[in-house]
Amino acid sequence: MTSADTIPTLRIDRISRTLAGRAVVNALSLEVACGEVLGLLGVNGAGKSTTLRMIAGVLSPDSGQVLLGGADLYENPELARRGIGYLPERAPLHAELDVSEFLLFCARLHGLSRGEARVAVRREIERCDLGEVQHRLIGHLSKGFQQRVGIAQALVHKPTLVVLDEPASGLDPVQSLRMRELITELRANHAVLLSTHLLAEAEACCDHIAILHRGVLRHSCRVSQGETARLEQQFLRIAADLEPGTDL
Amino acid sequence: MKTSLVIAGHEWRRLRVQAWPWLLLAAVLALLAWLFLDRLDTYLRLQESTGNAAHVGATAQVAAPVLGWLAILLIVLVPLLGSRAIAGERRVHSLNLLLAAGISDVAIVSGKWLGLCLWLLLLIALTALMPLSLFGTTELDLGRLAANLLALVLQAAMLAAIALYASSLTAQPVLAAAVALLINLLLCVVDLGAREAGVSNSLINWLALPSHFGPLSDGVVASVDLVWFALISGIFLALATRQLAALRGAD
Repeated sequence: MTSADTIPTLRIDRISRTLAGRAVVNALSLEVACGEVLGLLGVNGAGKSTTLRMIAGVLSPDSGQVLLGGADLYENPELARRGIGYLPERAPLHAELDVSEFLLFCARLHGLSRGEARVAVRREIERCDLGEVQHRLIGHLSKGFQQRVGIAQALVHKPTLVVLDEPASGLDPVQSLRMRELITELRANHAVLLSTHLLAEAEACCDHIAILHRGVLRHSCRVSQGETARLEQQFLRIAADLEPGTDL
Repeated sequence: MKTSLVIAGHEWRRLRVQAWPWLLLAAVLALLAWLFLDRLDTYLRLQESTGNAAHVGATAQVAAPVLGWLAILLIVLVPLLGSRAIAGERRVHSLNLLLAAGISDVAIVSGKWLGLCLWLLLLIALTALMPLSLFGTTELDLGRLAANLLALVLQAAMLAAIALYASSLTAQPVLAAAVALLINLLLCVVDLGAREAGVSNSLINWLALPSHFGPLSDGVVASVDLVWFALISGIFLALATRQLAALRGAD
């Protein structure tokens, strides 16, 4: 999904992963460059979260390569992973801490000095609209605010690649809209990879869509206006395991 | 090392802002204070009846029993404090934060271990204030007291390593605490049969915790005991690190 003469921010090359004897991801290859948002679309169980976990370094692939800026994530994991900001499906938060304290820890965890961390936390609190809750305990926040804290922890160390697993899951319509705006803003300085099972969400904020089904990449295309109906047909046909040309 | 310290500081902060570790600390200190006063009362009555004006024996009769009680309480307390370190994070899915942060498994485990040790050091230091409060009014055997405190610190660090390993085995903190408690108890009684048979110098005796804590708390600082504590701590920390690495490849 990048031009041939540029090194993509992220390139995954034929990664596979088996869980509990089932091939959850099978020889999947993808690319995403800075300034792009790639949406990984699929029904529940398609292998989206497993793919993102492998990219984030939480789960190792059985085979294949994950390259961040050309460097193999699993050969030099500690340096490479610092270039990735990851928001899993359930935001990894420490409910007993307040927002500022938690974000400060996340920044320090990614190698920022105390001074740099303070600046970064202020920046992300502003960007993610967390000012009014910055001194409140995370456990006392609404789902929407908790999700924003999750996004802020993924961005606090200025990663080149932002990986978001179902970022709008469980949010109300207003919060979902704000989340889409935030993802669109991220495009300016980051490569963004997000997973969703909602076609409308993928269309609203992605440049490219990759449809995953049973761990296999079934369709990949650039998002263009006016092709919603065709893409929807394609997605439903893949989700229903129908051959091309078969009526739904 | 820097990342380990960041994680240790964070673990300490997480324990600090919650009520239950303080309640646990307060309950243990209250119990030990009661035992301390009871031992002190017995000691003073003994002094009066024997007319020992020099107050000799306060370390053996007051300080050592109180610190010995803490050693016993630690066997139960450390699994309770440490079981959530990894299991609790797995249960609420926040372990992903550390796994995806680009830090090594060794740094994660050592950071969590140091954070837990900091809390236990606070408990030991506060307990040590009780016998130290006798300083100046009686003749304390400071050498023996120091050896006793060293034994406690080494035991606490070892139990923290065991708790961390147990915590890495499951996503259920209660189960992790039970596993850690079982390992602790096993280390305490592993040579029970041998001792009952009159054997006190075999490999099985060497494996048991009392064989190493006992001499240290009696004031005998031998390298074999220090090595034993370091070895057991190291083994369980290595196992916890290995378990964390296995989680990344978990099937």
